[in-house]
Amino acid sequence: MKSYPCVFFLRLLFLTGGILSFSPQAQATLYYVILEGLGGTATYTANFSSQRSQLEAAAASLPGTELKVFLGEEATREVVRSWFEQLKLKITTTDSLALFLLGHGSFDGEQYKFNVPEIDITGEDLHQILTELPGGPHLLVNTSSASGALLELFNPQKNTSQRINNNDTSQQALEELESSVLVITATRNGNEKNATLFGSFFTQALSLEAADLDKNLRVSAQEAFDYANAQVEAVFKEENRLSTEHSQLLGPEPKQFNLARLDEQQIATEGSRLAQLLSQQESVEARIEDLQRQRSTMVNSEYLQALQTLILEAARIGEDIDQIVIGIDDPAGEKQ
Amino acid sequence: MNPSGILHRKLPRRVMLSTIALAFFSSQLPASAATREPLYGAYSYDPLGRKLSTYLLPCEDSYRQGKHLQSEQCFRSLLESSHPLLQAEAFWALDDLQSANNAMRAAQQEHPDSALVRSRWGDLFMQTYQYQQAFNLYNEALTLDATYPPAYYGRVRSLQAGGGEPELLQSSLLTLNQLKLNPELSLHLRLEEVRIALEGDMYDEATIALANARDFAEQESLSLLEVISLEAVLAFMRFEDPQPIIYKALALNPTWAEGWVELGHFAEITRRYRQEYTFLKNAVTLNPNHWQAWLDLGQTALRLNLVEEANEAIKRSYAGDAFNPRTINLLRLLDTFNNTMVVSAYPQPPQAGSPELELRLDKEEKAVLESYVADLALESIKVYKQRYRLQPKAPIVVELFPKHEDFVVRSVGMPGVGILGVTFGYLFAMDSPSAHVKEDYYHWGTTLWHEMAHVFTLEVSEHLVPRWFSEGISVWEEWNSGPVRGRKIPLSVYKAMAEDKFLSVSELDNGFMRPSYQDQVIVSYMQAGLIFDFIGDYLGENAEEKIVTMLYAFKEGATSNQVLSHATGMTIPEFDAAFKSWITSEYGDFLEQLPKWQGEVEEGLQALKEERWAAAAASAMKALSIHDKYTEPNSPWLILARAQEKLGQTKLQCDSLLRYWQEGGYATQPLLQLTRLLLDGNSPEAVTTAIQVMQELRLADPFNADLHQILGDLYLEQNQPLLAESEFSVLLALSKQTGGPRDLAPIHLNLAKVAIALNDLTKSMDQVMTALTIAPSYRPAQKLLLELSRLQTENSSNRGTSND
Repeated sequence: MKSYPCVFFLRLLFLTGGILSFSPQAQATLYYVILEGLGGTATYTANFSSQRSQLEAAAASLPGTELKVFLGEEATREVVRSWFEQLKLKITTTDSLALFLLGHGSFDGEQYKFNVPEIDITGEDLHQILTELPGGPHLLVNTSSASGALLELFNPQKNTSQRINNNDTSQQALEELESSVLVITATRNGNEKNATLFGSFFTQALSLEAADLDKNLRVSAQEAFDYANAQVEAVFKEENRLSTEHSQLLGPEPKQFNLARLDEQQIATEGSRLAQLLSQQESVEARIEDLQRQRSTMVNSEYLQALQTLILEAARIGEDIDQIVIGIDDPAGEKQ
Repeated sequence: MNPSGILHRKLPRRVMLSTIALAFFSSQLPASAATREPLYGAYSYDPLGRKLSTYLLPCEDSYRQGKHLQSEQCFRSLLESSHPLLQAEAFWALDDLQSANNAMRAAQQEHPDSALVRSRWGDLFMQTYQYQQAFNLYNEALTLDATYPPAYYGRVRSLQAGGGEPELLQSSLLTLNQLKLNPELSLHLRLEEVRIALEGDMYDEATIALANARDFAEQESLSLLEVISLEAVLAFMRFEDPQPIIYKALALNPTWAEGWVELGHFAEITRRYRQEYTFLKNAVTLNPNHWQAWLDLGQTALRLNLVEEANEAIKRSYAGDAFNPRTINLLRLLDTFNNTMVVSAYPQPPQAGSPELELRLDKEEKAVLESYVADLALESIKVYKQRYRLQPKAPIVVELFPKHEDFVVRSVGMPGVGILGVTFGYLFAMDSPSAHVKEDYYHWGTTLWHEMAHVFTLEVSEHLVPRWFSEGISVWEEWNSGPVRGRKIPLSVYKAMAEDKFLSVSELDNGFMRPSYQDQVIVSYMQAGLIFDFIGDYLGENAEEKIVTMLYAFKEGATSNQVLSHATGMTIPEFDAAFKSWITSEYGDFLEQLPKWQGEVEEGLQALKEERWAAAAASAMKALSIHDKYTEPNSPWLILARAQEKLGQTKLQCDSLLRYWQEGGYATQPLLQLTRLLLDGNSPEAVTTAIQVMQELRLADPFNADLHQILGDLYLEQNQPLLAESEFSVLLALSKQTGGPRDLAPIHLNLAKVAIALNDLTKSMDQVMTALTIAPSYRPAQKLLLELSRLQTENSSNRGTSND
C-alpha cells in the first residue's frame, strides 16, 4: 500500500480539537480548488453559486489552505489546465489538493465532459491533471450529472462491480487500489444523466454538526459523502421516485481527508503548557486510532476496556486544555 | 340494509375518483363468477352457432345439473371434434386455457367473418382478466355483426371490469336493451337488475323483478338455479334464513356452489364477514374447484384474522386460477404478513385471559410506533368499552401498513383505492404514518380513533348498523373524544353545505356507496358526523346514552328511520328540516360569506407568493374575522403566521400558531415552529405548552426526528427520565431507516444522561461508551465518562470506607 505523508498532518488538524500548535508539518498546504461550470439556467447558476460559497467558507475554516476558484468566463479548459501546470511546479510532496466540480456533466458512452465555456473539460483531462500532481492523496469531488463515468478512468483495473462504495472500505479493497486520488461522484456511472441533488447536500454538510459523526469538529470527505448520500436517498424515498443518482466514493482514506472545521481556530505558543497538552492529546488520539484498527483482532470486552482507558486519558487532557482555553491558568500565555 | 362494502376513513380529494370507481364496480359487476361461465345462449344467433350448440349444450347441461364427471367426459369427446371452436370450448371447460386460446385462434382463421367466434374468444379473455383484449374482440365481433347481442353484452362487461369510458358503457347498455335477445341472455340481464336492486337496498323492487324473472324462466323452461340463489339473497337481506331456499337449488344441482358464493358476496357488502365466511366454506365444500370461492374465502379469513387459513385458501385458488390479479396481490400481501409484519399483544406484561389488543406492525417500524399506537389504542378501547357498554369477546387487532397499496390490497384485494382505514369487526387495518411521509395532513391517531369506534359500533349492532350511522359515530368520536378535538371540516364540504348538497338522512348511505359527484364521500362523512353533533344538541341531557341505545336497536333489526324517529320523536322529513335549521345556526353566517372568505384566503396565498407580507397578513385577518375554525390545508392561521414571521413579528407569529394548534391544526412544520418559538420564550407555561404540542404531534408525524429530539431534551430538562428515554429510544430506532438521523453519538450521550437520572450508572457507562466508540473525540461524552469514572471511584472508595 502506498504511504501518504500528509495524512498525518491532516489527522493532526483534527486531533488538535480546534487548537493549532506550531509544527514543521504545518507548512503543508491543502489546495482547495473550485471549478464552477456553466449553469445554463438562472436556477442552476444560483444553485452552483450557492454551493461554491459554502465551499469557500469551508476552505476558510481550515488552516494551511490555499483557495483557487474558477468561474464564469475564466473557467475555461485552457485556463484551468494552465493553472494546474503551474501548480505542478509549486506543489510539494506533503501537499494535497481537493478539486470540486460544480456544474453539469455529460457522457456520450465513451467520454465524460464537464461543461465550461468554450471547450469542455474531459474526464481524461481531469485524470491527467490529478495523477500527474506530486503529493497526495488528492481529492476529486464531481457533483455533476454523469460524473460516475470518471470512476472507470480513476480505477481502470477494476470493473464497476468491484468499486468501493461507502459500504466497502475494507483494508483489502483499499490495498487493491493503485490510484492515489480519492474520487467522489454524484452518480454511479455516465448513464445517470439527470441534474443531481448530491452537490447541494455535500456542500451543505461542510458546516453541519450533524454531518460530523465522529464529533472531532471536522467534516471529512467520508462524512460529507455519507451525509449527502443519505439525504439524496431520503429525498427520492419521500417523493416516492426511483432514484436517478447513486453517489460513489472511490479511493484511499476518505475519513482522514478533512474538508472543513466546525470550531474556531486557536493557536498555542510553542513550548507552552497548552502546546504540551495538545501534543499529549494528539498522541493519545493516535493511539485510539491504532486501537480502532486492531478492533477486529481483539476480544470485544478487551477492546472496550482499552478504549475506555485511552478515552479517559484523552478526557483528562481535554479537561486541562479547557481550563487553559477558558483562561483559568496558563503561565506561558496563549492567544486566540 | 346498507350495502356498503367497507368502512373507510375520510379520503383526501385526490383519491375520490378511484373510490367512486370502486363503488360503481361494486354496484354493477355480477355478484359472483362461476368456475365455468354460462353460455348465455351465445350459440343461438346464427346457423353455425345453432349447429355447434347441438354438441355443446349437452355437456353444459350436465355441468349445470351437477353431473361433473359426465360433463367432463362429454367435453373430452369434443376434443376430437374437427371444429376448432368446439375444441376451444372443450379445452376451456376442462381448464386448459392455453389450448383453448390456440383453438380459438384456429377457429377465427377458419371463420374470419364469425361474430360468434370473436365474441367467445373475448369471453375467454374475460375469464383471464385481460379486459382490453376482450374489449377489442367484442368490438371486432360488432363490426362483423352490429346487432350481435352477446358481443354487446361482452363489451359492457369488459368496460365494467376494465374501467372503460362511462359514456360508451351507457350507450352499449342502451343498445343491448333495444336488441332482440335470446331467452338465456334476457334472463341473465333480468337477474342483473335484481342484483342491482338488492345492492341498492330496494327490496320491494328486487322482489318484483325477481318474481318476473322466475316467471320468465319458467315460461322459457330455463334453469332456475340463479333465480333461486337470488331468492336466498333476498331472504338474507331481510334477515331471514336463506338456507332452506338454497337447499331448493341444491335439489336441482347438488354441487351448486354459486348460491353460497352469491350469498357470500351480499354478506361481504353488508359487512357480515362471519356469515360470509360460513357461506363460502359451504361453497368450497360443495365444489372444491370453485377458485373464486376459495379466493373470497381467503380474503374473508384474512379479515377475520385467520391468517393461516387465508394463506391456504388463496394458494388453493391460485392453483386453479393463476390469472386472477386479486389472487396474486393477496399472495404478495401474505408474503408481507409472513416476512415483514410482527405481532405484539397487550396489555404488557400479559394478564389472565386473552389479550385485549394485538398490534401487527412492520418490523422496521415497530420500535418507532409501537408504544404510541399501543397507548392510544388501549385508551380508545377503555373509552369505548364504557361508552358502548361492550366487553370485546376477542382481542382487537390493529394493523398499520407502511405501504399504502399493501393496506388497500389487504382491505379490498386490489390496489389503487384511496382509503385510510378499514374495519372488519375485531380487526382493522390502516395506513402507517410512513405511508404519507410527504403529506402534512395525515393524522394517524385520529384514523385509529375513528376505526376503533367502528369496532364497537359494528360489534354492538352485530354488524347491522347502517353505514352512515357507523361513520357518523366514528366522526363524532373523532371530534368529541379523539386525540385532536373539534370539528375538522374540509373546504369542499363547506362548499357542499353552501350549495345545499346534504342528503336526507334516509338517503345518506347513497352518499357513501353511490356518490354522484367527486367529493360526495367526504361530504357524507362530515354530514354524518354533524348529524350526531346535532342529535347531541337536540337530545340534550344524556344524549350520549341515547345515541348508544339507538345503536343497540339495530341489532334487533330496526331501520335507521325507525331508530331516528323513535329517539327524536320526529319523522324523517321533520328530522331533515331540524338538522338543516341547526346547520344554518352553526354555519349560516360563514356559508353566506364563504366566497368572500375564500377570496381573502386566495389573496393571502397570492400575497405570500409575491412576498407582500403585510397584504398577506391583512387578508388572513379578514378571513379569520369571518371564520377562524378552519385548520385544514391553507388555513388562514398559517398564512397569517407566515406573514408575521416575515414581518419580524415573532410574538404575534407565536400567538397565531398557538391559536392554529388550539383550533385543531396538526401540520408538522408549523407545530415544530410553534414549539421552537414557545421554547425561545423560556417561560414555564410556554415549556408546558410546547410539551403538549409535541406530545400531540407524535400522533401525526412520529417519524419526525426533530420532534423526538426536542421532546426528549425537554423531558430530560424537566427531570422526567423515563419519558426522555422513550423519545431518545425512538430517535435511535429512526436512525435505522433511510433518511433517519445518522448522528448517533449525541443520542447515546442523551441516553447515558437519562440513565444517570435513573441512577443506573452501569447503563449510563454503557451508553457513553457506545457514544465514544462511534466518536472517540466527542468532548461532551468524554466529560461524562470522566464524571462517571470519578463517581465509580468515589462509590468504591465509600464502600471501602464503610467496609472498614
